[in-house]
Amino acid sequence: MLMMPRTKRRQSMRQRLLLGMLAGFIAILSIISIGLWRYADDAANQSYDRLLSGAALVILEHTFLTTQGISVDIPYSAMETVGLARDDRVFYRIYSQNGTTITGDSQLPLPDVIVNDKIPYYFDAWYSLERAHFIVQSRLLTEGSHSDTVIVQIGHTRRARNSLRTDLIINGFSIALIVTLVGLFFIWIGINRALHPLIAIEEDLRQREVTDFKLLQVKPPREIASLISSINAYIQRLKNSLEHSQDFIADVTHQTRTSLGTLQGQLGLATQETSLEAMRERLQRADCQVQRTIRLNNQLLSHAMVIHRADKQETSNFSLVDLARSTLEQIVRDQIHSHIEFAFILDDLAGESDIIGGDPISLREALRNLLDNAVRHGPPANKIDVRICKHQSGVSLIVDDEGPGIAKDKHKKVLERFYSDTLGDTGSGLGLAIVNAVALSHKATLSLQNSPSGGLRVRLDFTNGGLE
Amino acid sequence: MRMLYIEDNRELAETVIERFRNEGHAIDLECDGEEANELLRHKQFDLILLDINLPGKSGFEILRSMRARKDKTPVLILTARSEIDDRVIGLDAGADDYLLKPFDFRELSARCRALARRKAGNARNEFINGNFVFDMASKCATIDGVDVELRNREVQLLEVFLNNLGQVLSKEDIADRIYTFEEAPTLNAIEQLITRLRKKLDRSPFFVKTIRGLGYIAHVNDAPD
Amino acid sequence: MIRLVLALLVLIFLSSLSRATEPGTLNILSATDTKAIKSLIRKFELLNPDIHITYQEFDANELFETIRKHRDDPSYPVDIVISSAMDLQVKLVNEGMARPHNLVGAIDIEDWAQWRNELYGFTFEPLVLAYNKSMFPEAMHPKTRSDLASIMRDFPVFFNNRIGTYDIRDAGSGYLFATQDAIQSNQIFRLMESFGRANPRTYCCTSDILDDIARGKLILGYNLIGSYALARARQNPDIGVLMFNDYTIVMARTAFIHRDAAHVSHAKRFLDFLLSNAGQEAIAKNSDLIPILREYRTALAPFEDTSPFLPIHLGVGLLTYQDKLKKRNFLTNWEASFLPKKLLLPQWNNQLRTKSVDSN
Repeated sequence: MLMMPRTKRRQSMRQRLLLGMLAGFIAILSIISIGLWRYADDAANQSYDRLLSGAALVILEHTFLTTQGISVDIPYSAMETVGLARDDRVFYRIYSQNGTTITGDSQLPLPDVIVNDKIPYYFDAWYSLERAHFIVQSRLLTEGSHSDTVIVQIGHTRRARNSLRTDLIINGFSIALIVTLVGLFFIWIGINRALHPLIAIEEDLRQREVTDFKLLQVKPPREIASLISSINAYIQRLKNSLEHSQDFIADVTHQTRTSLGTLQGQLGLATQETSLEAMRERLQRADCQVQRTIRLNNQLLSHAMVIHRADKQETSNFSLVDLARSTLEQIVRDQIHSHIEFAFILDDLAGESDIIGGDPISLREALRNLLDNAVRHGPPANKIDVRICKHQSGVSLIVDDEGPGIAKDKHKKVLERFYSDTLGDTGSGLGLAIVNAVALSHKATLSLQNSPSGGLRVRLDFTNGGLE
Repeated sequence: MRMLYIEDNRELAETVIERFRNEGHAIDLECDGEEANELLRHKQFDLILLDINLPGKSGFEILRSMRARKDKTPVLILTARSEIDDRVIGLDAGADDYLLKPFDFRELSARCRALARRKAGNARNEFINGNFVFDMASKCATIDGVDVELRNREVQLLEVFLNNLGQVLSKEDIADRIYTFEEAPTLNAIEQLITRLRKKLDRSPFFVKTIRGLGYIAHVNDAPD
Repeated sequence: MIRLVLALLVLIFLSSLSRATEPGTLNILSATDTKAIKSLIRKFELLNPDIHITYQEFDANELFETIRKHRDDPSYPVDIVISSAMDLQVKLVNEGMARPHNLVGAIDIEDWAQWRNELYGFTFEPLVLAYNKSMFPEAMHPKTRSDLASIMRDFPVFFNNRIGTYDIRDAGSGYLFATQDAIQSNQIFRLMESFGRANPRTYCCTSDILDDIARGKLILGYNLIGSYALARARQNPDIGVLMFNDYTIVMARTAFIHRDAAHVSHAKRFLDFLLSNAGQEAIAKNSDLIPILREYRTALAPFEDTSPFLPIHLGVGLLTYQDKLKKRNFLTNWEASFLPKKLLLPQWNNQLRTKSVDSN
């Protein structure tokens, strides 16, 4: 059952090629047939016209002028010549220019033109219930001072002509048909040969273990080289991604266990304390640890959600300004008791639309993380600016703070998961990784700079406008 | 204060209930959505803490049917769902506030107090918080019982803020609400008005925060009852 | 619908009934001695009890003229035309007088013996020299035609008035045989001149010549139809048959179904029979004719090796000597060389013939 669709698809490719070729051959065959018909007709007529012409000439050679007028001695060979068209009836008449029949059948149909000296004229006519083909040819006879023109009309039924024509057509068509079949046979072989590397790849992939990430080793023909390299690139990416997620699981495991271990340790110590004061002290630290664990958890889930949504590629068009404003409003509300000064700055977009295509939920998560980081790492009287401005080919979202910033040499490092500049502090090390993931899925450029106020500037440059 | 806590996780529920009881509130627990919905038809509470994922009937359904019955009891949603859409739906369905699990009990308690206060205030036509009282009928504000002299515009502004606590209001929003179309104030005039109000209420728990580029957000610092 | 089917069934039943009870007729017009063909026809009637054959015998020319005369009269009762004059048959068929028929269950017929799918040759009849054994000693027997001419020149008195052949002006088959001789050999007029010097007797038909040979009136007859001659030789030990070593022309008796045949299916069955294995066997056993199928040509066995048979090919070539002018010229030549000049007047010729009969 599982094999069915695969073989079906393989056949259909072959069929498609074969059918295409067949259609081509049929077209060619049709053209050949039309040509063949005309050729066969001409050839049959020409061959049998030669018989008629030969017979007419021989008869004309045996005409002579006597004192009684024109006479003729039809030679046996003349009739034998026409008789080569074995099964055809023969009609003839020899007559003078004034229409007097000298010998032969006086009822024969006349040509509709006047026959010139020497030039044979051919025509078809019905006679004696059959269609016949005639030649008329004339000759000027001179005897002393006397001269007269003798005309020979000889014709036969079309049986031999038609059968020769049919034979020619059938033979020609048979050859064309055989050529077609042989052609299709070779094409079939060709297709099979051409598909061979694909089938080999199929075998290779089908027999693989899930964990086998060896690159395909077939030596592909030029036409599918790019396919193979794409498959190989895909295998490589898959391998990287798997390694990545293995790393991620390891990291997550490490982080959560460490966090929970710390909590457990502090709670354990608290139960050992004898003085109430010391116990409270321990419990307060445990509480802090709980806060950190919760945040770590939230960040992990947020990261997972962002990655998941990027995979699902649920995208829509939305206004970056509206999204930034509503996110900032939420943060402001959450931070109402703090002394942080927030600002929302809209630079002149100069006609550039703030509509971008993407996943608003992920992007809101990213911005929330950026603001969260700014709040977390900045001084109590922090100043946090959210700015939307125009760059060369789109809009940018910029978050500035007055925190300590990040040293330039660590800018790349902090985008990785679980790397926190201030290790052991409240940072989970996931915030910028989330932002980075969202930036990637939105094809936006994420850059870390120093803000004019001395803190960190995080900049997201969206290149694309809205979706189509 | 008489509260109903609708939550199917007993462990979590027990810690919350114990804390509230310690603070002297009456709090009932209901674990099943369907049963909670029935209970709410017959009994009145001052505040409802509502979980979203429930057996029987979801928190949203309970909320919708309450609001459909014109039951205006304040509802605070507690959710573990991460996506913001849920919160939006919750607020749209008529929730008064929400909190994400896991939450800090102090935060939960403060939110509950604020909701209860608002309900009580609305009932008495007064806004009271700590030393600050604003009588909505007489438009009088007092701090520690001392009258604060407020001009008409300042009273209007205070009312706008008290009705939109925790919400960002742009200057344009404010202008629209306290000036008529003909008056057409300058934005500068609004800034001055806010500065004056801030000064007069300096010693109260009420304050207005400025967010450049967005506008203003008002808040009343929580004081224990 | 059912009624229609029933009506059809009744019709079929009635038609089969009528075929079974009333024997159909088959009109055969033939230039063949009734005596030679009679038993063959009986045989066919025996095998086909539903067919009754009306057989009419004609001279070849007479037959030709009769068919032509009635060409526009479809009611004239003729189904099958049989003749030994192949050229006349070809001429009739060429004029569209035949109806095509593809034989069913036929033997292999050689190409020369059929034309179109209309005219079929069914016998194999060589032209022979028949002689009176007592008058023409074996030592004198010629091997070739020029031998014959020499002998006649050498013994003019011996042969005078005692050689028989056709008057080709009257005998259709005789004309065919003479023209075939002319095509075959340029020497033929030399032979005819030799005949002419010997004052030959001329006849209409082979059987008359054979009669006179048997009677001793003639020493020999030239170009006689071999089947008749051999049949007579079997009955009459005085008659001998001889074939030349240079060539022996072979004539096939031909048959065709007339265009206006009223009994087409019977006619077809008759033709099928003539050219079937059974028919050929019947020709060999029940008639004086010689079948065209080689296995049944036992009558010719003694001559097979010595005499090259040259069959006359059916086809339009045979029309050549049927051309009006050609025929007139040929007959003029024949008369000039064959008949002594003083005998050119027909009455004279007749008187002479009578005289010579009397003198014997």
